[in-house]
Amino acid sequence: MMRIPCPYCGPRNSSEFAYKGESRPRPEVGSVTPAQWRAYLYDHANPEGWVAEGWYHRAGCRRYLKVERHTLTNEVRSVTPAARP
Amino acid sequence: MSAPSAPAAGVAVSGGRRLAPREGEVIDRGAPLRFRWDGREHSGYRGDTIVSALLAGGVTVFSRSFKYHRPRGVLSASFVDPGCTLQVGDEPNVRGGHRRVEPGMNVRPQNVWPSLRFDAKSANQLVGRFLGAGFYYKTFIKPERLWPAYEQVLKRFATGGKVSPQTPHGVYDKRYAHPDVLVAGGGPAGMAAALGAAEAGAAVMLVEEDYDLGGHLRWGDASQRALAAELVAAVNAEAGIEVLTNSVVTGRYDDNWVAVCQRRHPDRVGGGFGPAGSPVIERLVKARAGGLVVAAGLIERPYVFEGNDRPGVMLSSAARRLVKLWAVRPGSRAVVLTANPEGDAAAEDLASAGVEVARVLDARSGGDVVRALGARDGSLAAVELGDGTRVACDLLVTAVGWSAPTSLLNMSGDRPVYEPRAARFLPGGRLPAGVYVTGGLAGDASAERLVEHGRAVGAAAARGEDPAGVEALGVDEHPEIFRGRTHGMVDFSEDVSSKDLVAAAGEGYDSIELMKRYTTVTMGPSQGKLETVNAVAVLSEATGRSIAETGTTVWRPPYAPISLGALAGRIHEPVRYSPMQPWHEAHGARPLVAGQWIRPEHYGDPEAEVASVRSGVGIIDVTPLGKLDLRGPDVPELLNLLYVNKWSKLAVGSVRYGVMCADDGVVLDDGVTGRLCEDQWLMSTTSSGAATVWEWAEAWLQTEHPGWRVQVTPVTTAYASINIAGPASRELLGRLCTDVELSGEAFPYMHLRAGTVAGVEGCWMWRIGFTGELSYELHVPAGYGLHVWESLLAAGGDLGVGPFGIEAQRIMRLEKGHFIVGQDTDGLTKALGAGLDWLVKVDKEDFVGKPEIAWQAGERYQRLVGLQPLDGDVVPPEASQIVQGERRIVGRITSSRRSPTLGRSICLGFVEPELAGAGTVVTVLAPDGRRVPARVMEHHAHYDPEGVRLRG
Amino acid sequence: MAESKAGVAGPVARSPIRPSGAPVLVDGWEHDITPPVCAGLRLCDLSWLAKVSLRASMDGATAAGLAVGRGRAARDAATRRLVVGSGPGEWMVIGPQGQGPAIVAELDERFGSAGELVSVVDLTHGRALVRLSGADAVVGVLSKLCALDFSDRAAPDGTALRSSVASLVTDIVRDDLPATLPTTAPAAGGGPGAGGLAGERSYLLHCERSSGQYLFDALADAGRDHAIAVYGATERDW
Repeated sequence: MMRIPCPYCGPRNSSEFAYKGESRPRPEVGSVTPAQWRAYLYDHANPEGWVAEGWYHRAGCRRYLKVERHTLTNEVRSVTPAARP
Repeated sequence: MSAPSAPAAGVAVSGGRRLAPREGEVIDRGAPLRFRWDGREHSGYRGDTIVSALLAGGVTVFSRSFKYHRPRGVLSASFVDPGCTLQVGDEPNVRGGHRRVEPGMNVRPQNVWPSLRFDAKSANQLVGRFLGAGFYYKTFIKPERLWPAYEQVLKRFATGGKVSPQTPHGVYDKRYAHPDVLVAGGGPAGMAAALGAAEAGAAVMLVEEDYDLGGHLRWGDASQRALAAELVAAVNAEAGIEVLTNSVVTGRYDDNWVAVCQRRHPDRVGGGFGPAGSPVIERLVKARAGGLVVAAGLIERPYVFEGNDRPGVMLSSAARRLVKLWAVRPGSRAVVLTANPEGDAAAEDLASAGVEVARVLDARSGGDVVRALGARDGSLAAVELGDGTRVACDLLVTAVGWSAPTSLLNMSGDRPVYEPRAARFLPGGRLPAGVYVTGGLAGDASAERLVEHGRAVGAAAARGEDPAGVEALGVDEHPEIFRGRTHGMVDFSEDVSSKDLVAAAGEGYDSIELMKRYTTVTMGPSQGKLETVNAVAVLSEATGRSIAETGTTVWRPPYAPISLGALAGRIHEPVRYSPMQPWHEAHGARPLVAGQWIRPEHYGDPEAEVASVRSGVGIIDVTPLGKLDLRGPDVPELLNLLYVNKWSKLAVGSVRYGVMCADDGVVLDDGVTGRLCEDQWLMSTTSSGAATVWEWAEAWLQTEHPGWRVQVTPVTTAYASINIAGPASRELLGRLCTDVELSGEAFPYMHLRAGTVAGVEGCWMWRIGFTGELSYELHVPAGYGLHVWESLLAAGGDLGVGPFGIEAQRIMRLEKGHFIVGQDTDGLTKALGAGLDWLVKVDKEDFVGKPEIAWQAGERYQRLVGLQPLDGDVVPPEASQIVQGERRIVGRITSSRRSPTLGRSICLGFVEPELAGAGTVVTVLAPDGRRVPARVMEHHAHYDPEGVRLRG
Repeated sequence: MAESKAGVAGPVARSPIRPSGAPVLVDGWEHDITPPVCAGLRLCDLSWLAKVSLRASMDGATAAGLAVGRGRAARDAATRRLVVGSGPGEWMVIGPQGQGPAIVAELDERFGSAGELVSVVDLTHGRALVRLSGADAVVGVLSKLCALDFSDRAAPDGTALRSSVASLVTDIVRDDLPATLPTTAPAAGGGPGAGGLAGERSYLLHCERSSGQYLFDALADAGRDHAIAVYGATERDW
């Protein structure tokens, strides 16, 4: 089981977290076209390599985190709060 | 099986194969014991394996092979010995080469019918040509309707033992561990690694598959045994090392998450784990290791030639273990084929055990065996040598090379590479940080040098250093010997011969992964440990490619077979109870499992419960309703974002209904939120949505709107929630609540008040309800829940108050046409489809799901409607389709009940927009084929659509 | 029910955990009074303790004022309250039975008026709280139910953690018991066990009230091999 180094709780088993998928910005609601909105909802890049994704530390600090993970090796190179600027 | 005919002596067989006491033996001659084998009594000593005890008593055949039912004896005398899988009592698939014999054990052979000696299925040998590569795939395919029959046939021929449904429930345990260093393998290098790591300050877990530490030193010469004893003493003296024997590392996963199966059996003698008398049979240890040192050693490889699976043909390591550990003479007259020093030593060990060594054939200088010839019973009678001569013997020992059990390295990401000089695979150098290799897997050396290497690797693992700093082990030259001039067995577990492999390659299955799946080679219980390299070698020979080019199959967890009990272990399924649960249990509530909650479905008669509420008053336990305490100046912003309707102007003391959608416009949850005071709100959610909505709110606050000043505290189970429903609910509540004016004018519908109920301060009362009657939802500090519940029932006796359950509530809400998220909506139901046009406010700047819901208005979508079958006695099952013509689906029934209030069936369902108009008659197709005409109603509500009753 | 209206017979509060024997009413709460035994592994219910949650910014004035870092717990000797840094911007104050409203009022007054957004919520009724004590607490129970490392090195006395215990989200506080019953409060300013005496290994565990019985049963079941003793809490347990 991969381990995620939580910035608040330290390294924890990934089973403590809920996977929230690739991080994608939510389009501006006022001006978005259906195609853009549905790309936001349903299109996933799913690369082989580094990907930024959301994990929620459900059984820990209950913070939403942005995790940079390598999809081939499950190596995690950064974990930060998920707040968007 | 009938009782033995000559019970007088007790011991039926005495082959006289037990040797005089020897240095290094692990049996305790002071502790003789008796057990049963195949219906007869046998004897052995404490420390014997089942197989060593039986062999000492003259038993040489332990099973029949998987496909051809050939007699099988000892091959490796270890856990992986394919012919020694036995049934012990109720326990199937016991590895007889490993498991220690215990007093009174009832051991039986598996895969024999009607008996081990006369096996009817051995006729398969005569038709062997039909059972070649891919036989099962080719034969049991057509016609498909016979698959169940084929299954019965195949099951009879499968090799497993028997599981008794009467077996008492065993205790299987699980635990987590956090060793700084975990060492897999307790041979010299593994023990040294554990010592090196512990000396560097690490907490170490040392795991050994056998019952004792020591590895191959245990059957070595005197100096090697002395070295083993020295290492074992040092390990035992080191407080920082936890030793798990009779345990196996079954897998390595991400970030050194290592699974260890700790085996123990109820009446196992001697050490173990847990306090004495612990009933634990097996324990799965989930270890998060800082460093993993793999010291799995080497496994001796069989030689492929005709008759290589006859009882009497065994590996040199098996012969040496039998002689030196258990003092058993493996045969009387032996031929030894040796290509290495271990084989040479085996010849000496046999001689020392009084075995007549008829010939020693040195494979390094052209010695070879062509075929093993059998006696009538199939066991070895003679060997035909390379020069055509025949030597009579009952034992043929081969020592033609070693295979590296690289499993744990592969699981760590390594791809071992073939080294032709050593005739085996070596680590490929692609290990992640934190995984180390030592011992025979890493190279060849003297015991002393292995210890030195292990110690250095262990220390590096403790310090998290790069293993490249440790001087590498070299490899010894070893001839490449895999198959001789004849064809023989490659996979002893699956009965796959080299001929099968060549045939498969000829049919085009010429990649090792394809060949594996087609022929099932390496797919049996030994999982490639004995046979992978031979299979690769035969394929490379058949295709003309090198072994390196051919490559190996991928090793995946588990490394060793693991029982389902160990995997199932301690199962954790949290349940939740309301504070009123003891009352429900005492009053005959039928329990309903709703997510983690156990709730009362009804107390005997749900329709009577409905009638009681509609005519008087009833109370229901709704504690599972989700509740979130919201505080902060930006709470209205949050509510406006999460709900599809508007929240900016909710006054203190008021509550409002809201629906949440996801960004795809699909209905997520609904509920009522109230403003308790100027800066405090209480949001309620559905019972099943409590956790989801909390996370949902946090998600939007933490990711999209971190600047909003809002704090969310979940208080779901801080309150016991009770809904008092029915025309007499005001009267009942008034009897227990003195500090709140309850009149319709003072406390109107969709408002809330704080007060004291039955002496309990700090209760919240909400005038809302799901049943359509005048009702109050109480939220009471949870510890007082049972007190208030019992007080309500005691206070309302004259009003006919009684409890009602989920079923009565479901009937009443359906009478009122309220949908339930997840019941009447699904993962595709967007807000407008659920009939929420009246609620959605698309003029809000933003809310979750807004774009999709705005676009939905211009789309064609099915509508939720109320439906009534024309025949009110027919209640169509939920999930019945609504069809047009023969089978065009135009909708579905989502909820359906008999309404005791209306005396007829009522439904909610989805229909195509053209059919949604009131009065349209649609056809409901029930699962049993009935066609039920039903009328679309004007309202979702079948009862009191104007809502007069609840506003009273 | 006229008497309850008149306040004659007071309301009865109950723990979510069934007492092992007939309970006794102590200041309006039912208490288990099964006598403690001298066992290497013990478990008792403390759900009647006051439990107040406080949420504030992770690094604001309130955080500074509380002076208990995330992942730590500290006992206030004078008030016998334990302040737990349960998470980022999240604290739990655990105090003697009946003090919930007083703790809420005090925290509101101390931190609520400083302009920082602070939520003080009385969760006395919302959390089940138990104490697991004894030298075997880790090997006999916690290591079977929770994947965290509870060694002294990783989680010494005064450590606060939240994780999954028996698949249930649970807060765990290492709160060793004094070696003997203290007649005076431990050294001022100290965390739990700061008195210098080697205390007895002990943990407080709390979870959502509705799962309290489940957690209790899971702990008791895991401890069976080590002969866990279930008893009614005593003065020493709080």
